Amino acid sequence: MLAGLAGEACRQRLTGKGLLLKIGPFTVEVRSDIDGFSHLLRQFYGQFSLVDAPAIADFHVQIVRPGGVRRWWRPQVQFLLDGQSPFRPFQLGHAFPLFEWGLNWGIAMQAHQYLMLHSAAVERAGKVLILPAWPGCGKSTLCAALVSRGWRLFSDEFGLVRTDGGELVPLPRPTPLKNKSIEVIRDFAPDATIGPAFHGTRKGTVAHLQTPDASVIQSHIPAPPAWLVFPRYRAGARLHLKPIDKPQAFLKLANNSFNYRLLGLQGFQTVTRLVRHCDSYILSYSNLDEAVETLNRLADA
Amino acid sequence: MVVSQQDQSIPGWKILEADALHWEKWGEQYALYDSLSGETHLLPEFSARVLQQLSAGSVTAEVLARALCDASGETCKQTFVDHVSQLLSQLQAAGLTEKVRS
Repeated sequence: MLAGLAGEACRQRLTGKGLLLKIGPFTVEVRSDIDGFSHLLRQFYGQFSLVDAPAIADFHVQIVRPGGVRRWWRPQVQFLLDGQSPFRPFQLGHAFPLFEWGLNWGIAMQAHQYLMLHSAAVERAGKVLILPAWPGCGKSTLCAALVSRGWRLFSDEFGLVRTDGGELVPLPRPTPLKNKSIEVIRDFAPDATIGPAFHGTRKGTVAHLQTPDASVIQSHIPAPPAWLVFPRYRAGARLHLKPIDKPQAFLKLANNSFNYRLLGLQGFQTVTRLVRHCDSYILSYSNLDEAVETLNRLADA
Repeated sequence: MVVSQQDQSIPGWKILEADALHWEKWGEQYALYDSLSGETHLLPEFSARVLQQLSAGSVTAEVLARALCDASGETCKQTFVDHVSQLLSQLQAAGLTEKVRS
């Protein structure tokens, strides 16, 4: 695992031939010349397996300083995927969030062997709860709360669904908490490890929640879906778990997917299979304790 | 007015490619994936039954309406034929049916 590599050795690998990390089903090659990035990578991916070279990487990622005079007067960091730069550079101090967002982008653009839902996914007693939502619905906060109460983290960002059998594939990674959610989770789970806050990112202040070791260790174990819960956080909202019918769930899920249209018939069949096998709900909530308790009861029923 | 016979001068209707349509049924709602266009449609049961009737071959709205009425043991009235005609036009706009000369 990455933590077994001493700090200096890790830095040397990043600046040299690169690190090959096993992140869920993917092998990710990471290179970086950024001071401080190595430390955060070891902190948040310490329990992840290293893949022995030579190996075929799914993603070749570089987190590097761009050239030019800005290198000195306003240092920046650039994300490269397979040598190409899909985004404008970030300020140098935001190397780690850039790595996380860049890898998300790479997965969303390339991992079409799966149906990809924009959702969190967590597992309990061998069954997966999928939380599909677009930004602002409280998906990450609810996911973090569930994981802090013992659910296994599959992903905070991607529901990776096998198109052959319909199982969910784990992709546990650090959970990016944004703005008020950072303090909410600090209060909700005081023992959780939350990394440094990155202020002034494109999504405001972001801090990453460490993935529980158990979720990383079991990241090779897929599981079948059982529940589709569309979360809706509203300040002051009373908790309400409302069942929805399958046609409604189908429409919401197809619209939530990154690559439903691209997969064509395979996408249709995968979404219909998911909807067939899952009970579907809309969860309106404002109180995390109530929401977690309700979802625990749903899973235990 | 009761419909009794088909007027051969009236254009018929057909679906573009029956094999391209993939169905999922939930109660009285159907999800339909058209692999020719890549479009997904959510349809009520009546629309689904109309499309499924058309998959046997091209027919006029009158014949189709009569077949639907016969299947449910009802007399076929002109208002129902008009309703079926309107639905076929809507399905055409959705890219699921097209007019043909009989």
